[in-house]
Amino acid sequence: MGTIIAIGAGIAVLTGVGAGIGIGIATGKATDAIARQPEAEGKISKTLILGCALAEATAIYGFIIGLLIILLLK
Amino acid sequence: MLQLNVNLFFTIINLVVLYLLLKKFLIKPVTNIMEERERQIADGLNQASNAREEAEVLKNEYEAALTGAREESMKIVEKAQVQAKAEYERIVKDAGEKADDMLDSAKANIEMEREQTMKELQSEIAGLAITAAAKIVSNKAENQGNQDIYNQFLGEVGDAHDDTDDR
Amino acid sequence: MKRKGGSDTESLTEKLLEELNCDTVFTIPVFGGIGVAESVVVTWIIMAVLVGLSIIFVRNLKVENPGKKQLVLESTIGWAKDFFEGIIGKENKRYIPYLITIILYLGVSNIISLFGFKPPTKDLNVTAALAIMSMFLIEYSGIHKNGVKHWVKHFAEPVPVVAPIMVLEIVIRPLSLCMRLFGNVLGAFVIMELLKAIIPVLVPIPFSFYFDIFDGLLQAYVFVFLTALFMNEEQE
Repeated sequence: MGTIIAIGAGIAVLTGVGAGIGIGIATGKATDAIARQPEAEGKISKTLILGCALAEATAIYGFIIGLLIILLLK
Repeated sequence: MLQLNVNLFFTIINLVVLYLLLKKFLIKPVTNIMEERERQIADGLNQASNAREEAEVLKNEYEAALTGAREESMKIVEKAQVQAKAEYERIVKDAGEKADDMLDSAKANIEMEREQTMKELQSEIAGLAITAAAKIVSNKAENQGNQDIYNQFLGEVGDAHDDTDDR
Repeated sequence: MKRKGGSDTESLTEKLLEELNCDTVFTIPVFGGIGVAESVVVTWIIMAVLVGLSIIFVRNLKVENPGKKQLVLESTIGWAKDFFEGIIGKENKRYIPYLITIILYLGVSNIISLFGFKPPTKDLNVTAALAIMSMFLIEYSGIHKNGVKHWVKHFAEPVPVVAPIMVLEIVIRPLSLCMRLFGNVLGAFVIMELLKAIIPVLVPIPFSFYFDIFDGLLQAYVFVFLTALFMNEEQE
């Protein structure tokens, strides 16, 4: 039982992959944008932080689901 | 950790209280101070611009006054020039008139004198003519009757002759 | 070997769970006992500190020749005002004090683990409360701006089919806010506890800088930023 729960929690945390890819792409694009237009850095950073926070949410959801699986199915 | 319970409402109450307290003790005073300062700065700027406008108006007034004074002085000078010219013309005219008058009177005098002279000359000529006539008459008339007339006439003419000589 | 490792892991888990658990500090003896959680007590402490500090700092404000403290205070509040005004516009000035309160509270409570307290945002009750308040604020601002009619109508835009999703959005937005904050703080907390359990000396310091300070402040920023953004969206 414990093993299965652990596997389940591990799968739930796989959502982090998506968040990682998303944040990576977003940051890369933001770097491009800043390189192209350094004067717009403030706006770009703001948008980047917002986008990262939104993308990161998926990873956080996965983390919470994993936690729930571990704690509630014990 | 993962269950919701009554603490949720405690937290909501806490947050509302915190909001009210911070609004009263932190945000209101700071905002008031900042607005006060902004207002003061705006006032200062307004005053400065007002003062500048006033200065501008004063400057304009002074300039206008100066221009007016210059125009007035020019006008006065012009007027004076006109007056002077008029005076000059008047004087010249007067002088001309006077000269004319004098000339006229001189002419009249001359005329009069000439007439008088002419008269005298005529009378003299008449005298001379009479004398000549008398001489002719004396040659012709040997009688005593005519001697009186002749003497009388001669005396008269001689007087006239003397008078002419005096002149 | 295996057995020993197992017991180690078990004790670590137990310790972790103990740390994660939100203790009940005391119980109010009415209605069969209402447990007051640690997060609420820490919130009280934070409130006391914030209000006390603001009273101390605000006491000697001057219009002319402000001191250094006042300049710091003013530039902070001014930055926050400009920031929120940039998002929700000048006509929604009245929501700004609430947003400033929330960002201050979140900022302090996210980094309070540096001072040995458990961050209250680690408790789901606190983040849920914040999210519920945000939800009410978002919907209220929309209703206040455009009226109830428009508020009801906007669920059916652009096509009526999306109405269920739009209605769900009312709940989803604050739920996302709540879970994001909670998950981030909890995750950071767990990682820090694990690190401290494994290597208690020196190594946690840089991680603490990232997880406690940077992440905590970033999450506070993101929370109010998203709340303001949703308000702005709701008012359209």
